[in-house]
Amino acid sequence: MMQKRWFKVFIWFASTSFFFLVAAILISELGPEPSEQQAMQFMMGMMDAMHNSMMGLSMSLEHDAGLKSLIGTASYILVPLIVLAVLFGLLVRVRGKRDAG
Amino acid sequence: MLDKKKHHFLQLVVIFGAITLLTLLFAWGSREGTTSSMGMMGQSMGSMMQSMHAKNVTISDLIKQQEQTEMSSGMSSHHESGSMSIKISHYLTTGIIIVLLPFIIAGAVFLGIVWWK
Amino acid sequence: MSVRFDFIIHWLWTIVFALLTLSGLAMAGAKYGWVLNYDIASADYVHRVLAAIYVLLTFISIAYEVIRAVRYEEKKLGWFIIGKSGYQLFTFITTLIFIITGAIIWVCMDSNMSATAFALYIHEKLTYIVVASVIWHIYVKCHALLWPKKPNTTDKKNVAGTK
Ligand code: HEM
Ligand code: HEM
Repeated sequence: MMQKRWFKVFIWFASTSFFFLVAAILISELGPEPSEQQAMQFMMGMMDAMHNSMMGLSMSLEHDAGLKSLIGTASYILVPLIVLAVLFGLLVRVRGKRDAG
Repeated sequence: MLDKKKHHFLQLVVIFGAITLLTLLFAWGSREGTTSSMGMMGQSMGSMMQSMHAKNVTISDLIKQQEQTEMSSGMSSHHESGSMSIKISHYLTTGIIIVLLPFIIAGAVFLGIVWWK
Repeated sequence: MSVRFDFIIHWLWTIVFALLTLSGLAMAGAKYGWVLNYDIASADYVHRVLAAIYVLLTFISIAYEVIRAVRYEEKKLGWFIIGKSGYQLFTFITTLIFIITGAIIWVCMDSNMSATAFALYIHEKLTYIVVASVIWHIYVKCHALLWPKKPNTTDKKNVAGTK
C-alpha cells in the first residue's frame, strides 16, 4: 500500500495540508489585527451560523425535551459504567498476572 | 543538516516558511496606517469568552449554574432555526456524541487501568 | 492485498483531523475568519458533523484496544493512533481532551456560559499544541514521503503498512 503511487500523492497532500494549517495559524497570530470590516464579516458569519447551521440548534438545547433526557440518561449511566470499567480492568489485570505466573 | 532522509521535510519547511513570511510581510505592508485596535474582536472566541465570563470563575460557579440558566433561557428561543436536514444532522450528531461519550470515558478508564505499569 | 485495520484508521483519522482543524480554526476568531472566507455557518456544520465521525472513530479504536487487552494481545500496532506509550499515548490523551471539551461546548452552550468559555479556551489552545505535534510527527516519520524508486524493491521502512 505504501508503495502505491496514488497513495504517495495522498500522503503528500495530507502532509502539505498540515503545513498549510501551521502557516494559517502563524499568519493569523503574527499578522495585523483584523480590520473593522473583517470583524464585521466574522460577526455576520457567526450570526449566520446561529440561524442556518447547527450552532443555533444547540443554543436551544435547553428547550429540547428529547435530547435533554438523552443527556440525562447518558450522565446517569456514566458513573456505574466507570465503576464497571474499574472492576473489569482490575479483573483483567489480576487474571493476567495469575496466568503469567 | 542536509540529511537525505529528511530532505522532503526540509523542502516543505522552506516552501511554507517562505509563503508564511511573504504573506505576513504583505499583510503588514497593506495595513500601513490603518491602526485599528479592535480590542476584544481581535481575540479568539475562546479568549474572548474567557475574559468575559471566566475571569473569576470558581468550581462552585461551574456547579451552581442556576443564575446563568435563567439568564440565557429567556433569549435562546430567538435562536430557533434551521431547515429539516440541519435538524436531522443536529439530532444525529448530538445523539452520537452524547451516547458514545460515557462509553469512551469508561473505555479510557479501563485501558488506563490495564495499561498501568 | 490485505491492508491492516490500524493502517486504515490512521489515515481516516488523519483526514478527519485535518478537516476538523481547518473548520475549527475558521471559527477561532475574527483574525482567523479568512481561512474559510468568513463562512462560519459552513465551518460550524462541517465541524460538528466531523466531530461526530471523530467520536465514532475514537469509540471504535477504544473498543478495539479493549478487546485486545482482554485477550492479552501484547503486540504493538505500529499504525494505531492510541496506545500505551509515546506518540500513541499522546494522541490518546489529547483526543480525550478534545472530545470532552468539545462535548462541554456543545451541551453547555445554552446553559452554562462559563463552562463553555473555559472549554473553548482549552479546545483552542490544545489545537495549536496538537497541530505542532503533527508536524513533529511528520518530521519523525518523513520516510513516508519518499517516492518509490523502483516498483519492486522492498525498502524495509516502507512496508510497515502492508502484510
Ligand atoms: C500527513 C500526515 C501524517 C503522516 C505522513 C504520518 C505517517 C505515519 C507513519 C509513517 C507512521 C508509522 C507507522 C510505522 O512506523 O509502522 C505513523 C504512525 C502514527 N501516527 Fe501518523 N502520520 C500522519 C498524521 C498523523 C496524525 C494527524 C495523527 C494523530 C493526531 C497521527 C498519529 C500517529 C500515531 C499515534 C502513530 C503511531 C505512533 C508510533 O508508533 O510512534 N499521525 N504515522
Ligand atoms: C481534532 C480535533 C479537533 C480540533 C483540532 C478542533 C478545533 C476547534 C477549534 C480551533 C475551535 C474554535 C475554538 C475557538 O473558537 O476558540 C473549535 C470549536 C468547537 N469544537 Fe472543535 N476541534 C476538534 C474536535 C472536536 C470534537 C470531537 C468536538 C465535539 C465533541 C468539537 C466541538 C466543537 C464545538 C461545539 C466548537 C464550538 C464552535 C461550534 O459551535 O461549532 N470539536 N474546535
